[in-house]
Order: sequence, then structure tokens, then C-alpha cells
Amino acid sequence: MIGILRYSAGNTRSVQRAFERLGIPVQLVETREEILSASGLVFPGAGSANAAMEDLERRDLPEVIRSLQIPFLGLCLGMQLLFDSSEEGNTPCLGIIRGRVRALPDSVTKPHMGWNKLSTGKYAYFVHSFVCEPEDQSLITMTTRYGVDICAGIRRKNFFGVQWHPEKSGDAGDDLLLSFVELCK
Amino acid sequence: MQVIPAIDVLDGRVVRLRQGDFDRVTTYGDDPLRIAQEYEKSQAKKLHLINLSGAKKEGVDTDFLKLLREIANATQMKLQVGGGIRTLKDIQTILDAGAAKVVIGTMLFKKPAIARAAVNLFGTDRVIAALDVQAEEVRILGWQQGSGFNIFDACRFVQDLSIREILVTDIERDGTGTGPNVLLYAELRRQFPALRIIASGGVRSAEDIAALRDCDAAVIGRALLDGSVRFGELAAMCQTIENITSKERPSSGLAVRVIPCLDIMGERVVKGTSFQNLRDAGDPVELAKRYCEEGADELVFLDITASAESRETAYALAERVADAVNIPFTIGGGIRSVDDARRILIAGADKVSVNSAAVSDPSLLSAIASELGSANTVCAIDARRKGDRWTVLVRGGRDDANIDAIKWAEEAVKRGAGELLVTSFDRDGTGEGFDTELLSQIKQRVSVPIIASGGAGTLDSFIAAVHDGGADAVLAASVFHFGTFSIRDVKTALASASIPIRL
Repeated sequence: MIGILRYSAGNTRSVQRAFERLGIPVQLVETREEILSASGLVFPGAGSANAAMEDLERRDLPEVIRSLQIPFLGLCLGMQLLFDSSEEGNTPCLGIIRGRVRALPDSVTKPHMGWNKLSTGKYAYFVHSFVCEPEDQSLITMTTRYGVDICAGIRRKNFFGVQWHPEKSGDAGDDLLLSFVELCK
Repeated sequence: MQVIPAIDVLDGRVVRLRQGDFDRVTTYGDDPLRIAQEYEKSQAKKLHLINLSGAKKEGVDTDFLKLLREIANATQMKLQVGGGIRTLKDIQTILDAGAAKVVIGTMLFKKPAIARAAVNLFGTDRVIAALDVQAEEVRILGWQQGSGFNIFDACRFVQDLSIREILVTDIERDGTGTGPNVLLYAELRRQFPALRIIASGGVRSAEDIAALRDCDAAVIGRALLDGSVRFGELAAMCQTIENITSKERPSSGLAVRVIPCLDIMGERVVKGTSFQNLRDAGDPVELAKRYCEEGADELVFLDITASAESRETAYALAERVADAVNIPFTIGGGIRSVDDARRILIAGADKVSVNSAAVSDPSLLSAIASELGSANTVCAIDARRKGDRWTVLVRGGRDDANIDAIKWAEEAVKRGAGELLVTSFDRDGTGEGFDTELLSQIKQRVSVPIIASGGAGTLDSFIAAVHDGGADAVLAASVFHFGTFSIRDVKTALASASIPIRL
């Protein structure tokens, strides 16, 4: 069964609801044992990078996540935490993907909120003020444009992330979640 | 235009099949890596690598993966790899072994869900749809079986899977050196301007490349292997074509949102005129689901009784709506404290909308925004025209707060409102059109998105709200509840005025 990582600042419930709407059984997981028994792990994200990392560290989860072999899907902040560090609160992150997370430039209205067009041609719902900048651009799976080019999706090995909110992105979001489910089979 | 040399591998040997026939094999040695390195030396940037053993046996064999890794490590070329790919794991394995892209054919038609998942997870740039065509019909399973699709329907099908790059092989020309099917590619380009088209089959010379200039790339196998043309000649022709036709990239921005508004009284949706003469419009969750299915981008629920008791109903409503829809939604009405707002968000709403309470105590807005985030904080402003100005109304339009609406909008944003829901009291429920002057006056002074509300009437009125009022979103109630227009009608109208919308 797919696990959703429970953590304090997250939109865990919305993500859980999204899977439930699609008829996909999911389980909230929080301990190492629970995580390792899942077929895939979803890490929802909302709130700030520093609060989220503190929360993970308090529960000794960073190492568990780094050594995961099962498919992992980070959403929004959950994707940003995969990187080496974030400018938000100058936070060292999980370091699974080389690169850093920087604030959107001051030339655009923050947060980047609303429906924006992905490089796939579909619209997705974004709410964020920080953007991922991977050193290896070839890891980017999709982009969008908001004043600057924004990394909207990423993959390295079994670690996937999207900057947008599939749980709020209508059909495009459902489609992404079902794709992840397919991978976890 | 780009030339992509092709290497087809069968049992470790480099081969060409004539028209896909395993009984008509020409062998070009048993060292695919060396041939790949030669292509790189002649400045090839990409290599088309096909595993014919896999295509024959249905599966990705370890010998091929080993070869793929060797080529990926020994060259800088971007590898596009196909043959025998059957599962999502196969795709991941091939990408992880060093391929830049996977080429999938049969799977598109046999297991479209996997093709779609591959695009979603690995990126649209990682997937090429291989369409093998014979007399305009797409054939699958090594050309042995018809797919039931003609090439143009197949392209539409592939586009619906969010794939943007197609490799079209004309079976009758492949491996024959009789020249490419130029007319087919020209027609594909005309019908599918957004697709990247790679031509394949029958290319012999630089002249053939010139004839294919409508395509984005051409895959070439036999002519390079048997030495009848040099890679450099073809690349030079590509450069010439590139200099003539350079393409600009379309820009993209946020979609203008279409938002049905559900005014809630008790447990029902109601609608009136200038906030009076209420009519029943249905069950909120049922309506929410319907609008979501019709393509609404967001929903707004306003509890118009705004009493302490009804707040409990609002929390329950937020829970039920969150279970039912897959788009963002806002709840407002009667929110008087940070705790009220927090409970609404915890219950499942994405944003809270604050109105009267913020007017009487603006610090409430600051507190909600700083504790729960500006992105979750909407300030609703009900404005009534007074000469050439607007005044703020509170308590559902019953009282005049004697505050200038434009100034209040500015202050609300300074205090952290991430969005303004601007309702013209005079126009509300009249169908006379949005107050575009009010909207544009506010839009000029604030940097946050504004939602136009009050007065939605004709389809043109929605366009005017965006073009003249500068609205980032258009909100309406009656026209949707009572079926004057569907969400799609409004979106179609906006799109026809070149306004970006989510389809």
C-alpha cells in the first residue's frame, strides 16, 4: 500500500483525500517501520522548509528517506526538501538531488499562485514562493513559466517531485497521482 | 532540423531490416559501440538506438542494457532508445541506464495508461511516440498488426497522452532508400503544429533532408551505414535550414480562473439580487461536484447568514467539499478570528475569505495572513458606487462602512491579503456586467490577483472583466446555478478573446 508521510505542517489530509477520491487505498505513515513496509511514499508539503526539516529530524527520518528504494513522490515543499539546501530559512535539506532552492525573483508577484501551464500542455495548480534549481538540468521532468522558467517536476532515480499540487489540480493532478500508483505496483 | 543516426541491434550485431522484415537482414558488423563512436566523431548530437532482439522477444534483455550503458558512458550523444519496452519499470530501467528518451510504439495502443504515466513521471521530453505507417494506417507489434488508427487520429491520441514528439516511419519506404514520404510529413506538420516530428524511412541525401524541412528531425540508418551519404553533408543542410527558419517560443502565464460562487444559507445554496430576494439553488456539495466536473478552476462558498451557529455548519461544509472536489476552494462569511480561519483551513478549505470583520478590525487581516499565510487569505470587498467613487458595505450589504473601497483594497493588501474578491453591490445579480471601472481602479493599485464579482451577464461581460477591468478571475453565481451559461461556455468565450484559460 502507498504511504503518505504524516508530518505536522503538511497538507497531508488533502493528499490523502485525493487518493481516496480516486479509490486508491493509502495509509498515513510516520515511523521507519511503517515507511519501509509501504509500496511507495508520498511526501506532501506545505509550510516552511525549516519547520519541515526540523520535524523530520526530530523523528530521525532524513536517513530513512535518503536510503529509500521504493518510489517516492514529493509535492511542493516535499519536492524542495529533496535538494541540498533551501534559501527559505537557510535550511540544509535532504541532499538527494544536487542543487538548491531559491526565492522567486522580486520582479514577480509572490506567491506564484494559480493555474499555470506545464510543458506537457496541461494546467496545474501552483502555490509557492521558492523554486528548485537542480545542478543537473536533465533531471527536470517538466517546467512552467512565471516571469522565469520554473522547474515544475523532477526525478532522480526513484525520487520524483512536482512543484505543483496534484491534489488540487483537477484531472491533470488525478492523472499524476494515478501514474505514481502505476509505478508502485 | 536535426539528423539522428540510427543503430538497430539484433543479437549484438548492427543490422538493418528491409521494411521491418526479420528475414531480410543486412548486417553491418558486430560492434555497435564503435559505430556509435564514429557517429559522435562526425558531430552527431543524438543517436537512435533500437533493440530489435527486445522487439522480437518482448522485453529488455541484459545484453542490450549493458550495451546501452557502454554507449552512454563512452559518448556524449543523447540516446533515444526503443524496442521491447512493455512496462513502466522497463522505461525507468532504460532511462537510468543512460537513455535521454524512450521510444514507445505498441504500448501506446495496448497500454496507453503506462504511456501516460511515463510522461507524467519522467517528463514529456523523455517520451517519443513511434508511429509506423502503411497507407496512412498505424501498424503495431513489429508492423505485423493494424492498430485501427489512421495516422492523423493516432497523432491526436498521442497528443491527448501529453506526448509532444512523434517518430513517424513510413513502412513502405523504410530501408529501401527510395526517398521519404514528403507529403505525409507536410500534412502532419500542417495538422499538428505543436508536435515535434521526426521523419524516418527512406532518407538518402541532403536533398531529402531539405525536402523534410517541415520536420524537426530525421532518423537515418541504412544510407549512413552503407556509406552512400556522409553525416557531415546532412548536418550542413540542417544548418542551412535552421538559418532560414528560426522559431520563437510561445510565452505562458497564469490562466484566468472561472469561479462559480455558492452563497450558503443553512445547508442550501441560495441566490438573490443585490443580496436580497433569495432563491434556492441546490445542495452545495452536489453543485460543487458538478462545477468541478464542468471545469471550474476554483470554488467560492460564502455563508451569507454569517452567524456564530452557521460557522459550525461551515466547518462541516469544508470537510464535505474537500472530500468531493479536486480543485481549490475558498470559504467565507462570518469569520471573526484567527481561530475561525484556522479551523476552516484545517477542515479542508484552501483559502478563507474575510469581509466585515476585517473592515471593523483591520488587524484581523494582518493576524490571519501572518499566521496562516497570505496565499490562504482572501479579503472580500463589497463596494457600492457613490458618484465617481465607491464605498465599502458590510454585513452583507446592509450597512455602509463609509470607507473608500479603493483605499481599503490597498490597505487590505498591505496587511497581507493575498487576493481580493471585489463585488459590485450595484451590479450583483442584475446581469448588467461587472463594474470594470471599479476593478481597474483597484487593479492599478495592488499587485495581488483580483476576482471580479457582481453583475455577470453576457459572455462579453466576462471578457470585459478581464480586458477592461484587469481581473485575474471571474466569479458568477446565478448564470451558472440557473443554467444561463455553463463554465465551458464562459471559458470558450474567454479563449476566443485570446485570454489564457485552463481547458
